[in-house]
Amino acid sequence: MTPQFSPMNPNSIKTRFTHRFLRALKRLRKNTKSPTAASSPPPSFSLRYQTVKMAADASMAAAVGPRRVWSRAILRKVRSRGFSARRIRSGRRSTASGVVRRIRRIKNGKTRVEEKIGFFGDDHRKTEELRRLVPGGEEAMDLYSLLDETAHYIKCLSTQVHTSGGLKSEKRNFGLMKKSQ
Amino acid sequence: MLHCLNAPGNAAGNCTDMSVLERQRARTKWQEEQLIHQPPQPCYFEGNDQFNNGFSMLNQGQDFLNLMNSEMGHVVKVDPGLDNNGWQEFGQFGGEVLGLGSSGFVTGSGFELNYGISRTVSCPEDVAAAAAVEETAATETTQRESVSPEKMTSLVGRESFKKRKADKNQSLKAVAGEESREKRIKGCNEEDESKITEEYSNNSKNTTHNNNIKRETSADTSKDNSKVSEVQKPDYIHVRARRGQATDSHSLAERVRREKISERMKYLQDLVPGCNKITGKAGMLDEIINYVQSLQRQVEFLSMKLAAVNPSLDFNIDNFFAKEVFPGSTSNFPIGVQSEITNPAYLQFNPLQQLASCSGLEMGINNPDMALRRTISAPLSIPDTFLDSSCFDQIQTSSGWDGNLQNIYGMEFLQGRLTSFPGQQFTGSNEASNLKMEM
Repeated sequence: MTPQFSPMNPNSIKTRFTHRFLRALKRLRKNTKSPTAASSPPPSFSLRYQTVKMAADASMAAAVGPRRVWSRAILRKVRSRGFSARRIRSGRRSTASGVVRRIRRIKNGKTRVEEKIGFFGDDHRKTEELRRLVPGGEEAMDLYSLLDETAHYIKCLSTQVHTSGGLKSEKRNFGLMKKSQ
Repeated sequence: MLHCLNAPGNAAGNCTDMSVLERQRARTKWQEEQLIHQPPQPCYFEGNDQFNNGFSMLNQGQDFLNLMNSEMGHVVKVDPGLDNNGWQEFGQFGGEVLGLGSSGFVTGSGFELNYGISRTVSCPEDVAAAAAVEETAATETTQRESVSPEKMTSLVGRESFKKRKADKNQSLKAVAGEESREKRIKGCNEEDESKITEEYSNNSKNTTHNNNIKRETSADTSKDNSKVSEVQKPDYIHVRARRGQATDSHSLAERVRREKISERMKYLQDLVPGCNKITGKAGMLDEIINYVQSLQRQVEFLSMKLAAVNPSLDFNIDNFFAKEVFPGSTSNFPIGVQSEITNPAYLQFNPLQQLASCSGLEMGINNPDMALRRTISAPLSIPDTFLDSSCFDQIQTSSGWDGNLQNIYGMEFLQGRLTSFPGQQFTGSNEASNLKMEM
């Protein structure tokens, strides 16, 4: 079942991301095809989109590994979301408080950062915006590491866009093929 | 003595308006002369041992000592030919002041500097000689002492500048004694020290404005010192304290931080397209934010597309792994690069995937053969061997393979695959990475 193809550069982020993403997509599909999911109505588009998006994010972060702040943040987010989803099924109270606590922690970190960085006016506002964009940027980190993370994040994002763009075209071909048949 | 020396200096400073051009010319002339007189006289070095030791405390390193020696040779050389060399010293000083003054000082005090220069330059020879005498009388220790207080005061702060001047006029010696001790105790962070030295040299020019010849001599020697430290500086310091900039550790760290940030900004500038023309941090940040946002939106869009296409793919779940080989590279290649080899290569490629995915079937007969072929051709250089092997395999497979496939999967599946896969896929597999992937 599993082809034994050794990729060109198993260490490149692109390859790793592709592998992980495809595996995640396959798992998703299996879940939808499994009997438990078959009994339930097919998931809505938005839910599917969210899961795919999360799979893309998570596989990217996992491909990068925990050595970057942004990937760590994504992984944490994904994991906590998984936890919260599980908890929602069992009981909602605990998750709500957990979320509130987490938000509060993030806010605290942000204020600390704001104190630390002596940026004023326009630059400061933009830095904050960038912080909000880059995952994990709201942790306490100085501008230098923020820019560092941003650079790496941009690289990985463009890789992701490339890869999933190729994937998409593949899938569209498949879809067209199926329709033509 | 000082006062009577001050008088001609002042007069000369006020009356003669030397143009900048004249000053420059004079400076170059003096520098030429000094180049001629450059070879150091080793007999004077023993006397400077103390001084050297004192400074080696501040700045370690053999090369620096060597530099210092040459510089000191030059400084001490002043005394044999008093009238000529002393004049040289002042000329050099003026030159230095000019050079430093042109290197980005505040204009408000630039006037002061120029005034000081013109006075120093137009100083009559006997004054210079007297200054030289003064200098030699004040031996190495006094040199060091006269260096230290200004350093300390520069640490204390620019605001107390006036007060410091007054202080100096009253009791230079006492302060010097105290503060040189203090300085020795301080032990010296190297980085801070050399920066302070530069700062201090700037300060010392201000003090020359105070019409103190003695101060001028100390400034002169400090000039040499700071020059030496400037020579040594680039090894470990990137940030410099210019005039008016603070030299305490906090602002130094701040400057280092800013330097790092701007370096990172440059890197991001390369990364973000269309960011090259934009200058200024705010614009750059804007551009970076826009780019990140657009990338994130693209990812969202793509995953939306994937989610939309997802259900139609239920049929081909097994081919998904076959797809896994190329998706990364297909995006790099445009569609429609179909060539003669496309079909054979693709033929070969697909069955291989199928083999891998359903290896329990009867066409497993072909499997070892192909695997062998693959292992044989693997270590060779990639593109040619791939094409070769693909052709071979095609020949082989086209005989027995098609029939098998038709039997098992049915015609429509094969046809669908064969027809609907464009050259894009082959181009994807033509790439070196995928070649190796397939091997």
